[in-house]
Amino acid sequence: MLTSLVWKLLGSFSALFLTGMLFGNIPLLCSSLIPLIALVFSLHFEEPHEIRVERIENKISAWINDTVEIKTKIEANQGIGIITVADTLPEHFELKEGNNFHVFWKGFSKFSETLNYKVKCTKRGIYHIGPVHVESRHFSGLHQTRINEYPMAAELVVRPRPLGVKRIRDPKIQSKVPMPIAAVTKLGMLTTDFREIRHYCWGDPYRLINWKATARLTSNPSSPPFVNDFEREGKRIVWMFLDASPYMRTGTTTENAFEYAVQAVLGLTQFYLARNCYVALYVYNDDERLLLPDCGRRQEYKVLKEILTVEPKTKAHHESLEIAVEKCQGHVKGSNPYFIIITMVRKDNIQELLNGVRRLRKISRIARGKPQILIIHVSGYCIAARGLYERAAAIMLEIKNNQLIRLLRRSGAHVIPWNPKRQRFTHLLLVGLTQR
Amino acid sequence: MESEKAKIHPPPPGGVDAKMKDEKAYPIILLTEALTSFGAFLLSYYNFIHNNLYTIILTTMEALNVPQQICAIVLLATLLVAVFAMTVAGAFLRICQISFMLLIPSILWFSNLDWLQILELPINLQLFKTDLPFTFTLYSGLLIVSCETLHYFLFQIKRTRDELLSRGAYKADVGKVTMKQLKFSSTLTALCMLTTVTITNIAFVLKTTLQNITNQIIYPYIALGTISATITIICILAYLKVQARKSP
Repeated sequence: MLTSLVWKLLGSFSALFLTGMLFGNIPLLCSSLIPLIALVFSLHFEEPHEIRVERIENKISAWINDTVEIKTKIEANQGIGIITVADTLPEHFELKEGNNFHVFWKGFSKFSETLNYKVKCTKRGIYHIGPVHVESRHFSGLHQTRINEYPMAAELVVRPRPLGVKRIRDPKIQSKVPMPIAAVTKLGMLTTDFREIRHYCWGDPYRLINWKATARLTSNPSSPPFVNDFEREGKRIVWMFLDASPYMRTGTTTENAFEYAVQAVLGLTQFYLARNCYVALYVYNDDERLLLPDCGRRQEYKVLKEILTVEPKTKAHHESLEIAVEKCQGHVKGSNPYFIIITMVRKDNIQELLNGVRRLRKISRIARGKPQILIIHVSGYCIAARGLYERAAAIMLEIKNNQLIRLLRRSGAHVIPWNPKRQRFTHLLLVGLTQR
Repeated sequence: MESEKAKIHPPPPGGVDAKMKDEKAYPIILLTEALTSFGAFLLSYYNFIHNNLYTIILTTMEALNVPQQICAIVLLATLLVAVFAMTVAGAFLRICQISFMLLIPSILWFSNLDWLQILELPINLQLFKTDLPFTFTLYSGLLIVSCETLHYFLFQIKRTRDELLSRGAYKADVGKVTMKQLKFSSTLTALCMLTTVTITNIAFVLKTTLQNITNQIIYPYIALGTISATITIICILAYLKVQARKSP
């Protein structure tokens, strides 16, 4: 398709030519030839075509906040003019080096260039980079610009970094919190995984006594000797309930309460799965996303895959914790699993949480043993706070939340408030430890 | 505390200086425009002062008690101020158009048909008599129209450059592209000029050869002119139709 600019050159020619004809004027007639010849010559050179675009890598996997290099090869065989190449980047991506929009000149020779740039993956998820938009422009704008879209989407999987959860190996401290170590069943075969050094208890095999540690650590001759304790082959079940309510979006799009909650879920999943536990995940307020209890690397992969696509809702979804528990109770009944609820405790959802905890206690009562419920309260206000005044306001809001947390504790759950800006997740799980 | 959107695509922190530095192409374009338009103006002014119209203007002003020298200086100063103002405003194409307007009287002097005389009007084209030879006026005309064509290409280059920069392309990349586009467009304009000169010379050779045949036709100029104009227009339209069909 020709553009209206053709008429500009043609207009100059016509004006000179017709005036020249009218007056029989040779200089005017000769002058009229210049715009005409310019038009003919310009139209003779077409804009670049026969363009080939090739992605160097089609699938890239990265951790969150990693920088990834994206390479695209462009070739053009025919035409003369300008080629612009634009790679569509997903939202939340930060351009670190290079540019995803490039301009090239295609001369008489064959054109071949590699477009490369680096992006920082600021948010977890499965993204598609592309399609590649290629524009070929006529050098003088006489032809319409050709816009081609090459659907060469490269898949980029951005995995969240799981928060490291470590075991406590000090024999002098004991956890009040239902810690994962204590969660492992006491029955089962001993493995070769070292757990801790503890005092000798009645029934422990003599071969497990650590004489060196006993000599070094015991000051009182009447105190029992120390023994090496090893992990047992236990198949305890851990149920994790992740809240995907709109208030979990508190913070920025890349740094909010939900993002930290996701990291906590992944860290805990890895921790429990490494200790042969069954892990189940339920994302409530998010269209019933349920992963049934399973163990091993496959479950870890499944949790990761599921968590990559989870986003907190923008509108309130009426699925309370109680409803979520009701939906899972068929899988829970008869066992005494750990329940870990990761949420943001607020005045709006306190009743829902209390009902949920009550429901969990009820279904756990059927099985023997005391129900163990852990609520991790992600402090969203502290995440969102910027500056001194906002931080002070966030602390005040958190103080206001303390009475809600007390209510939850009274209902039988153990609540850990977590400010990701100040506390590391590993340190967080040490809260409530006492000297033996 | 509402969620705020994270900033997307900030300027690259490391490569800013290397990639964002200004290119040489833009000053070269401006310089080309300024030089060509000023050259065209000088050429046309030289043609104008050798034209009878200029003498008439000076004589008329002298009759109004304005000395000829002062009048010449004022006229030149006025034109130079106009050219300077247009240069500052970047309206180089307008300077070319003014230059062509100054050249028009000299060109019209070489017309074969004097319609003013035919219509028996009080003035005729004899008014535009020039001292300069035909070839000089012809090449002046060709040069000024070439300048106009070059300015058309330069305008397109500047427009493309601005658009690309506004879309976030690196200045260095755009600079390279602009330079190559400038070279290509200048070469093309020079080629157009050369082709026109060749065609003109061939036409003069053919004119003397075909004079015997054309003399036999009644009103040869009108008859041949009408035929050639019709053929030219038909050919152009057909060519444009083919071109339009070729591009997607």
